[in-house]
Amino acid sequence: MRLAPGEFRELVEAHQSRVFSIAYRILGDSGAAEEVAQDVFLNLHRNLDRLESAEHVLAWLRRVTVHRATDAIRRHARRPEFEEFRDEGNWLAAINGKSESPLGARVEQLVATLPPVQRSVILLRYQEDLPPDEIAATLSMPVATVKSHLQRALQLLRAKAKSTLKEYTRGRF
Amino acid sequence: MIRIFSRLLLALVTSLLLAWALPAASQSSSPFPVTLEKDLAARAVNFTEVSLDKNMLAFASKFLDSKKSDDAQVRRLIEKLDGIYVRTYEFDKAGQYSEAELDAIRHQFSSPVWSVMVRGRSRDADGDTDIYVKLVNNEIQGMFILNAEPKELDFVYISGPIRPEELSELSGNFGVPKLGKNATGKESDK
Amino acid sequence: MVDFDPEFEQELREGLRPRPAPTGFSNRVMLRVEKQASRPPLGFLHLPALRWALAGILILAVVIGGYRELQRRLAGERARRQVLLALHITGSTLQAIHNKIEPSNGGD
Repeated sequence: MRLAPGEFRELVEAHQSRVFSIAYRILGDSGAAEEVAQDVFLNLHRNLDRLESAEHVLAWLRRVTVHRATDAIRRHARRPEFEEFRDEGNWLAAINGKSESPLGARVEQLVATLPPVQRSVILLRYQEDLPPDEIAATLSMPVATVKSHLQRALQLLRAKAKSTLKEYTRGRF
Repeated sequence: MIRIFSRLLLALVTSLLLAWALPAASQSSSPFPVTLEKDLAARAVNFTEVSLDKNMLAFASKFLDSKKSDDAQVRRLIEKLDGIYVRTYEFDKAGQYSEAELDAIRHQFSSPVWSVMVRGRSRDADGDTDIYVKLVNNEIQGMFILNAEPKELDFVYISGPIRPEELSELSGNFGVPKLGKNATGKESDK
Repeated sequence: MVDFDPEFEQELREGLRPRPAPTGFSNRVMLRVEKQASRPPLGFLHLPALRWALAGILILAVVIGGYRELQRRLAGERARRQVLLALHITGSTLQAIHNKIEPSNGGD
């Protein structure tokens, strides 16, 4: 794929939210997420010749972002920004400064409690709106495994959501 | 990085040059006493020594043209053999080798597996002749041939399965006249 | 497979809409891209001398390969001639022995 000057910047601007969001929601740290996101775009620039279309670029971005972010998790065991959110009773702190919306914060907080693989699956399913077979291709895993992760993750999220809702309805705000 | 690459480059060039310098085919070892061969060669006016082990026979076989009947026949002859070793020495006068030296050659084929098929001893111009065969399960698995004449000495060792009729095929081919006619061209023939 | 709660899934979708990248993100990316582009690719292969050396090695490999093939063919022909010679000598020797053993067949 060959781009005219200036077109690569347009490509970055078109996908930066997506890439940053995936990285942030896997890592839970905006600094680490930006580092990963920048690396992803630098890598994209080096590999443009191998990519044939806009769809190919999008699939590539998803795959590489998820892999780099999960690699970064392994390197950085601690995730300070979300550690307080592990305590579900303190999820209100997330609303007050960390997210665009209360719902977004709540969902991000819930997703952050999932193991990394399930987190990736949930993001690709509900942020990127990918069907299970495309998630499987992105993560290089069997479709059945993807569905299993999805099922388990949703069960966990539902269970956590119910318990935080109880806290909410008790008026702790 | 550059240093590593330079070293790799040097290693590659050296390997290529070594590969170029190595001989194309290896030498076959001799079944006959090597010192004796050297002595006979030193006394001969002409000599021929051919040693072809299994690998060399297989290698040569690749260059036999199966479309030519002679080559096809040769391939049939050699395809099962383990080796052919031929020595022929021509001398300018009689008495250039001794009976003891012939015994030393024969001694290589004196183990129980070897049977004498032909033994001829003559004090006149005919000289000695020997044909031994190596029998394994009643099949010929080797042959030793020695023909000693006053001014010529020939001996051959063929290793591997041979059928006598295959040897008779040699006659009439490869420049050898058919058996039954005096066509060897040797002065000693009667 | 458990039926997912569509309302919950919708909540997830809304909650996981992409969040904006930090301000100035694309500028920072482009700065790094421009820096990367100004660096020569593949470091050492940029040096003309080493490129020539590599080309030379490849040519040497082809020449040596061709020479080896020629050597092989010549060696093969030599081996073939040696086989024919060996069989000729063997046949001659047997013929000579035959003539000694049965001199009546050896005469005219």
